[in-house]
Amino acid sequence: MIPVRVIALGSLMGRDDGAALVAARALEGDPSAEVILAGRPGPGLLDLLVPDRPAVVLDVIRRGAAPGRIVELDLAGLSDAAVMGDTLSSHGLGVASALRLGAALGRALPVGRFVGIGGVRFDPGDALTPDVAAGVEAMVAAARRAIAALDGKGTSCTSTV
Amino acid sequence: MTEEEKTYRVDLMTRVEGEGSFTLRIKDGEVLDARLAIFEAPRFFEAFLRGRAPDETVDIVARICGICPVAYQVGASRAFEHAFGVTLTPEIRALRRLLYCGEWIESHALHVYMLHAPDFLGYPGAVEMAADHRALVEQGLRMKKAGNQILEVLGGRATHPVSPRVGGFHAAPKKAALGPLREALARGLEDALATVRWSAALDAPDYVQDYVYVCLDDGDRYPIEAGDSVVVSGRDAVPLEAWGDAIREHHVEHSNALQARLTDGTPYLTGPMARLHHHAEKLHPIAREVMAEVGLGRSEGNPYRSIVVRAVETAHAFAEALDLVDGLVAPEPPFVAWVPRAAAGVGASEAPRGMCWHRYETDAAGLVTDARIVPPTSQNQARIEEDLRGLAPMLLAMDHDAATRRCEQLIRAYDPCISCATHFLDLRIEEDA
Repeated sequence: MIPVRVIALGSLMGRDDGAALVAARALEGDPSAEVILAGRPGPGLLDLLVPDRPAVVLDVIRRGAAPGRIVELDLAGLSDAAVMGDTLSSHGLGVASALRLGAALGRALPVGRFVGIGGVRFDPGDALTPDVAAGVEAMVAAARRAIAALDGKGTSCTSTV
Repeated sequence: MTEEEKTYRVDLMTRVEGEGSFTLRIKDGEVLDARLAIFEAPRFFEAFLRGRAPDETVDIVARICGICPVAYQVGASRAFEHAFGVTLTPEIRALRRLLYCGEWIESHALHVYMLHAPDFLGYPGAVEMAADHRALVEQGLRMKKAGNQILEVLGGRATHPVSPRVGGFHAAPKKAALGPLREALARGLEDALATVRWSAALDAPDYVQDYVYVCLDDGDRYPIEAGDSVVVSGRDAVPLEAWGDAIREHHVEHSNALQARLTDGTPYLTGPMARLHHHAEKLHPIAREVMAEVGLGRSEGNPYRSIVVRAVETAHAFAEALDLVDGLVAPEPPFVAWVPRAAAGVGASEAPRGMCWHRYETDAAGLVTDARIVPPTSQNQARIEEDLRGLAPMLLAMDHDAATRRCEQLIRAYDPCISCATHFLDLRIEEDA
């Protein structure tokens, strides 16, 4: 069986921006998941979202969710939920904009789930804030539920992209 | 007569690398204020690096920027190599240059197509542009992907490559791994040449400035990953070790980034236009040929035409990457060993958006005791504000919204890497009562 592709976004050097990556590391070794620590791929995210490969995207929410709060959405619904802030910075294309770009280009997207965690500090540093650190375990649990729901099974194939 | 004051302001600029704002105030035709306010990460990293080992530093500085990690890695590596007396073999230098070509390609392609092209074609962003110009956007994404392939093959991954280290690489790619890459680069070169022709035909505002161009000098090679002196228009070249004393960095009230100027107060320009001005004859023949074909001169003084210069450099990077792949000899071992010592070293490279200069001091164990990083955007910031001031007469003849967009387009022409905070996601969540 093809494992579910788990794509984690963020930066370990941006405090809470690294929360999704921390959560994704806890999923490495899960035979039903192919974990990709994608960092900040910008439009390159489109290349990771393969149509026939169920995907779980893990990301950090800057505004709109309390620190440590877990938000779960269908991937297809993420564009509607995201507000302009997603396009405000650069490398610019966050997950919602990348999905919008894919739609504009007529690219087929995979079935999938989005699991986000609210963050509060994004300045340089490698420590999560307490509320966010406390929420990582719930994020991992939500990701595991999403993987199970997508029925991805197969051999382990861990990447550190 | 009532004096009329006009203010052009954008509080959160889009399509730049990070977050920033600008304000331009004009009264009776006179510029009262031109401010580019930016958040910049490298300053915070300098303190964070103290006590770190050299290779750890190379890994950490890659996190300063998601778009140009190689620039930071190479600048830091070169500084430590300078400090420890390391001389790279020609094979390792070639590998490092190839890696850097990958970064130029992915960064330039991103900027040309996703960040700057919407200004010229009249769209708020690349997503909206893609609906009407699908083939064009796909071309840009294809080029960016080819650049990322270089980073993956040589650096281990596209985002924050893990293979670079002080003295070379942790591992060198096998030549067989470069076969598929060559195919992507050949296609990418064709795309890049098409990009030069397309961008040269874009309608750019008529706005020529007299710049002091600053970039590295790497002998007979177009400066990319190396260079031991800095060339400055109308002035003597500056040895790399002395560059920190040739500029004055100062805080301005409206920005938390340092602004750099020459010691006499002159703002200067670093980046693609500066490199072309000083080194056009060193471009790959394929790039020189297409440059001549579209009528681009070496001293392009119109910042709005920087998109063409960036496209030419992209063609150069593809052509040179192809040559490097064809001539690659995998170094064995892939790095030059070094012994830490108490020392100071400087290193610089030409990041896609301009010269990035590093200086480190180490203790006897090689741990960092002091770090200084001068990124390109802090060097260009004063020049951007000068350009905004010079734009005033043109703006007064335009309606307010169009004038504001013209300012934004100018700032974006510099491809400023304002911060490396990115991909932030803001959600609107409606709670049930």
